[in-house]
Amino acid sequence: MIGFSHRIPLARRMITHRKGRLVLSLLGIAFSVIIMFMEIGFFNGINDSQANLPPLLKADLVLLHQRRYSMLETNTIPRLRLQQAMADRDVAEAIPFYEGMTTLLNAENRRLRAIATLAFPPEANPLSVPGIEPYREALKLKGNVLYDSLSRELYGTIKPGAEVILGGIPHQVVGTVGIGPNIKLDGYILMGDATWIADGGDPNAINMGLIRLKPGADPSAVKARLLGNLPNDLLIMTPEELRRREVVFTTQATPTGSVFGVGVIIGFIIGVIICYQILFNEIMDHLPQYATMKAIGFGRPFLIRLVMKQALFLSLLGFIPGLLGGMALYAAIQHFTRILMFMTPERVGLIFLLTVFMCVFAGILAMKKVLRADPAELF
Amino acid sequence: MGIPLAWYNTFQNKKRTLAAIGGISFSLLLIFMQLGFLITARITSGLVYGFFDYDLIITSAAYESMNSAGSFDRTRLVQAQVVPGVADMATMSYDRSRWRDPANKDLGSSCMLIGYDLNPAFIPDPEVKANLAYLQNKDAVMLDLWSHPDYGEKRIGKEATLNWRKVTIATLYKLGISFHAEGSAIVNLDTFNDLTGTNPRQVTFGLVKVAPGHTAAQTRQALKAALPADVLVFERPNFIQAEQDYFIKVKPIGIMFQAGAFVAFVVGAVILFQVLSTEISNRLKEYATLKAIGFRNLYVYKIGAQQALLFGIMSYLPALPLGYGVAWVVQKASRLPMYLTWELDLFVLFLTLLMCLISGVLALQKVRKADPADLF
Repeated sequence: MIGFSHRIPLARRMITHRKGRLVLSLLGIAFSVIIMFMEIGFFNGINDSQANLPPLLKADLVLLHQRRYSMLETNTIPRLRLQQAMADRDVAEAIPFYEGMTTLLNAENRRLRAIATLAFPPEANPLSVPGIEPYREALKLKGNVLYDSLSRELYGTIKPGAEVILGGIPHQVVGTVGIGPNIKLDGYILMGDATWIADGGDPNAINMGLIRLKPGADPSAVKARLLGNLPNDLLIMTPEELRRREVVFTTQATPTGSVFGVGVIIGFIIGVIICYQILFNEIMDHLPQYATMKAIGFGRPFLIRLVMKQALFLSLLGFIPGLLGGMALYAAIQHFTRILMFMTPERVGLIFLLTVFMCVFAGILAMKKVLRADPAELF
Repeated sequence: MGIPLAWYNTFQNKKRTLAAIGGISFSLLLIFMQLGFLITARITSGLVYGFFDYDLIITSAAYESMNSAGSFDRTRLVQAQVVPGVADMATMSYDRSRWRDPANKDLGSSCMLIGYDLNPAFIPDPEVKANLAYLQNKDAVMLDLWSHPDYGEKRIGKEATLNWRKVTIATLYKLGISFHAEGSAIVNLDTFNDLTGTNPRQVTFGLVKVAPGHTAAQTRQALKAALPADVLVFERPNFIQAEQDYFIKVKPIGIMFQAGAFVAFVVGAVILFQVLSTEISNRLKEYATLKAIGFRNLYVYKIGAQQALLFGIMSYLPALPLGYGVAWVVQKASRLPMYLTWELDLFVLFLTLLMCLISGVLALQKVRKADPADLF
């Protein structure tokens, strides 16, 4: 309680005085919270999905071509860089990672569909994808692949055991994993490096080199040494740096910032108006009470605090159903679009702050009425 | 009916009414923006395909959309040339690329790169047609004047890089940016292969003009019969339509904007319901009096319905210009051209009326309760 110790929780009682109206009011606030969640969710969803690969890499450092400005590109580096990196005393493992695009023949409608392929030595286990573990041995066999079951429906139904034609060559689907598409890519095929090479991939042109360090090694020190010792065609980043770079790249390359930013602002304004309306109605209904309080000697600071407390109550009570509704909406959108929609403490915190700010702002707007409440008008 | 009761009721408490209209207005504004973005995404996704004039287009069998178009052996175009009904052909290749302005610290911007064989017959714009000649030189580009300002100064003779290779702006044209990329450029096919490192045998699209006396559908069948299964043939309108549908229905952007518009609609309806129901509860006594002095239920319903309509229309009127204003700001900030059509204006009006109907019907349930006996 903001410097106010009174035994009667007046603000709460006034707010909850009319239950039916309160529910309707909270619904209104909750919906503006949902709008804000939705818009930042879309914005982050597009960016997070575009950067969905780096967080899956089980590596301390990633080597890539210096001119690979985005994960959208597939510039390659010589595999030799891995051996060169291995020369460093702190490097424990250097794993080649291949990325490419191929076509998958949809057996149902006989259409060829582009699909992304990821290839790696299965024994190195470089991807932390749910469901991949049991297939480590199977992937070592040429022609065996895993299919991303979260891929878009373009490819038809592909179950473990199915045969798929990739780039004209038959492959055996030994299992499915869940990665999920993004704006650019509609689906993934995972394979061992033996299959990649058998399909005609150049074993010496790798798209990423995954570096694992010996226990206790300092990634930034190793990074600096590698950058100094290896030819200057390289970028070296941690997976987290790579992810962040991709998010920044996506926000700059696409107009999503403005498009969804407008939505957040409009959602906020709607929230302010709804909140104002609720507080205004509430104040109008209780004007005699306010006037009475003034008449019996409560000062302006007390009334200001009272209205502000009601505003804060509204923001708290409205935020909770808004958060729940937002979570449900995220689950639904992720289900329908397969774009990653998740909340982080920072994102929830941001919307919470906006909600509080929204109600406080509305409270300030509605305050005037209370301060003008004239005891003389009571009668 | 002498007294416009709905009007008086609505304006008795001007501030409250204003706040209500504000809330509904902003919901309508949000609907308007979300659907405006949807239309914009739709239109801009087919922008490159609409730039050229052709009847049929040949693509790789792996064609999915412009950004995963695949490629096919250019021999197919030679084979297509002798198919009956084919009057003229042009080759167009497409790839994403990176434009960098040396004067702007080599800041990279995405660029839709179009490689074209410079056949003027497929260019409807007379100015672009005349300027095609400037593209004969190697590393000469025709730059989209409407590209993002990050592209730097768009002046003929200026040098920049595409995929880190030096190019010179030889001439300019206008296409506009999209959700795909921040700008676009046209080059000749040699330059295209050089800039993208594409095998010169592989091309992305073959454009076909149908000879007089043949229909597009006939020629399409003839081409399909004559060419191997590694290529597909589409008619222009279907092709552009399919690209737009792909971008809206398969990619998540369409679903996002639709979800956004839907939630905004629900919010608008909730606010309107809230306003009407407060209004009705406050006036229950007055309604009961009306009933007591002999007005029928229908008359009272009519007042409520009129008020719902009044709130709706009064919210729609400011929302529309506000929407155009916000679109203008977005366009300024993101350079994304917003396509707002009169159909959209009408559709939002329709949604407004639908909102009035739903909220009105729900809120008016209470009127029945207005019992003259409760008055005392």
